[in-house]
Amino acid sequence: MNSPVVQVHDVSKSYNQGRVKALRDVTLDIQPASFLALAGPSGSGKTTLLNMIGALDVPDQGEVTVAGQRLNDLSDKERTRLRRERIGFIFQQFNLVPVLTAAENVALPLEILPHISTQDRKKRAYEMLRRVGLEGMEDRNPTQLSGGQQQRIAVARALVKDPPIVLADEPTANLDGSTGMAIVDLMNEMRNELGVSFVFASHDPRLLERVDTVVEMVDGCVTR
Amino acid sequence: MRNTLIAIRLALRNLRRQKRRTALTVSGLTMGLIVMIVAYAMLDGLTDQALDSYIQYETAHLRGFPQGYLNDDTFRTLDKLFGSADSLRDALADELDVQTTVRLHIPGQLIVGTEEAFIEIVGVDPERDRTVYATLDQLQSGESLDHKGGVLIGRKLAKDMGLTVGDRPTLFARSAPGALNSLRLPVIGILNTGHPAVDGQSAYVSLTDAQQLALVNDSANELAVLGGNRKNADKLREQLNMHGSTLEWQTWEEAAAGFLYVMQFRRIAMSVVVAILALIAAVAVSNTMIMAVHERTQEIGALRALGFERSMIGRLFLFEGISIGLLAGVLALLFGSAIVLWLHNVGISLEAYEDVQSGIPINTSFYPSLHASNPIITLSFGLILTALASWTAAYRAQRGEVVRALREGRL
Ligand SMILES: Nc1ncnc2c1ncn2[C@@H]1O[C@H](COP(=O)(O)OP(=O)(O)O)[C@@H](O)[C@H]1O
Ligand SMILES: [Mg+2]
Repeated sequence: MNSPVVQVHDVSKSYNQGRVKALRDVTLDIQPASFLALAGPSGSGKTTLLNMIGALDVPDQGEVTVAGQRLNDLSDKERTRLRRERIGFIFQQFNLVPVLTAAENVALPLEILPHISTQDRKKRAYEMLRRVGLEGMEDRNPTQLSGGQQQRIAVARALVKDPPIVLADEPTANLDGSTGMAIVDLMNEMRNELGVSFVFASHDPRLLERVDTVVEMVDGCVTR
Repeated sequence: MRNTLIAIRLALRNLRRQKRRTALTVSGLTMGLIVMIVAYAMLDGLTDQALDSYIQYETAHLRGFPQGYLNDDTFRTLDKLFGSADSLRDALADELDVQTTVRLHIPGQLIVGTEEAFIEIVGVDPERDRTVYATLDQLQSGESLDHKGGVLIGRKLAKDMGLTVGDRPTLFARSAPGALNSLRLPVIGILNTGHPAVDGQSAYVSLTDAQQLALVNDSANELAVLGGNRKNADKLREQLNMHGSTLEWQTWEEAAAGFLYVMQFRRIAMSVVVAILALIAAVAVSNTMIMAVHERTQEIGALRALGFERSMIGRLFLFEGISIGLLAGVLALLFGSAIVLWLHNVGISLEAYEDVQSGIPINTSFYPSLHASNPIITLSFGLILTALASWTAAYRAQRGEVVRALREGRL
């Protein structure tokens, strides 16, 4: 077996000077090409854990290793670089840049990476849009598209730099049922084709049905 | 460099987001910058025109006077004269490539019936005077001094004294030996120069008539010199001193020092107004940018998650603000220059203020002028102003924590 793409060891995190314990001694390994969801009620710490894995936040205690890098050792700048190079993000609110076209949104993560030619960026963005089923929509503005189409752009944007891991916080929460499930199926396809790990935070039961692994969280603890 | 280009591209696109707000901010700033361009063009025009006027009618580039003449406050200017006027001025003209003429200034009075006015009687050599001064050709009516004897008086003096061409006033003065003397001459022309001293307090006669009135022989008390470039007046003076001149020399700049000093104050006053406008504009731009940051907090969080550096986020907003300045600056340059050029052609009439003694030697119309420095200063000013004004917003945008921006939509 390959070494895990994410290792979370004994991680705790609290907010408001320790009054809110968002994570308590969480330990979790995530293998390459996983399709895994953090489940649990609102406030159970799903987002907080996802943020730790995504190098957006640092633990108070414990260790997080992502794509071979120990986050505890990294500076703010180095964590930004790790995100830029190795981690894809998908958000509940899509968070596309409304003044850029679909293709420009997808190409954006490549723009901030060195040594990729303009031509190459465009080619890869178009290819990704084709893969998520948005061929012919490259020059559209996100605001002209439906929620489902916007989230497809976001999936393409997360995958375009070929990261080993993509993190998605409540990716279906702003979509109606069938649209949401189509997105989940699309991501599953991508996982199979590209070998990328998807980690979700979600309490959407239909999403949880479709993942390989559900990690249950309650009150900042992983229960199963 | 690449990051800067990306930031510039995004910033320009972001300007289109809140079109109305951008348009309002840009037009407000444009208006302010136009005011700035026009106001400074007016000051510059006023200064240019006044200095031209001084040089053309009063100071030339350089004037030589008998020693002590300039500091004399007794009005007994005829006590100090230089002789051999003609040979001195000819020697100068030959050796240095300059135009010269001499004038004889006599404090005196103009008498018409029971009316009298204190004036300066100026004796001129019409032919040579024209090579240095423009006074003799600024005729409102009548003719100049060339062919017949007579006196030229200024428009305002003529009006005050009720004189027209053909009238014969008396010129009255204390002669050099001390006796009172007078001369009765026909008014042959009325001058209109815009220079208050020329138009209101002077009478021009031929040098010979003046010398007769003052009872001096071939003497004068001003040697006026016009060189190639007025900037070289100081150098010219050095050359003259090296030539062993015993005269006391005064450049046009020294002669106009009082005026330049006043203009300095007007410039400062104007700058205070500009600074207040700038402050208002800065608050408006700053406000626009802070609003933009607040609206886009989620997006900032997302970009940071995608791996945008803090500095890049900052630059994004900084450039957006500066683009507002650039846009406004360019628009202001176009409109401001157009307004100034138009005013420069039609002139601004000062007829309504004719009786207000401004003391500034400009004519009944004045013409704003656009110096090259004006648009450059205005544009840089707009850019620096907007850069400073967007600084706070840019700093806020880059300072925040990603987690909080994404979670709460605030920084
Ligand atoms: N930035 C923060 N400041 C204060 N409290 C926070 C912050 N982030 C999360 N929390 C708290 O930590 C707990 C876990 O939150 P979260 O990870 O968002 O849960 P979930 O995503 O499962 O709904 C909650 O009680 C929440 O209020
Ligand atoms: Mg959450």
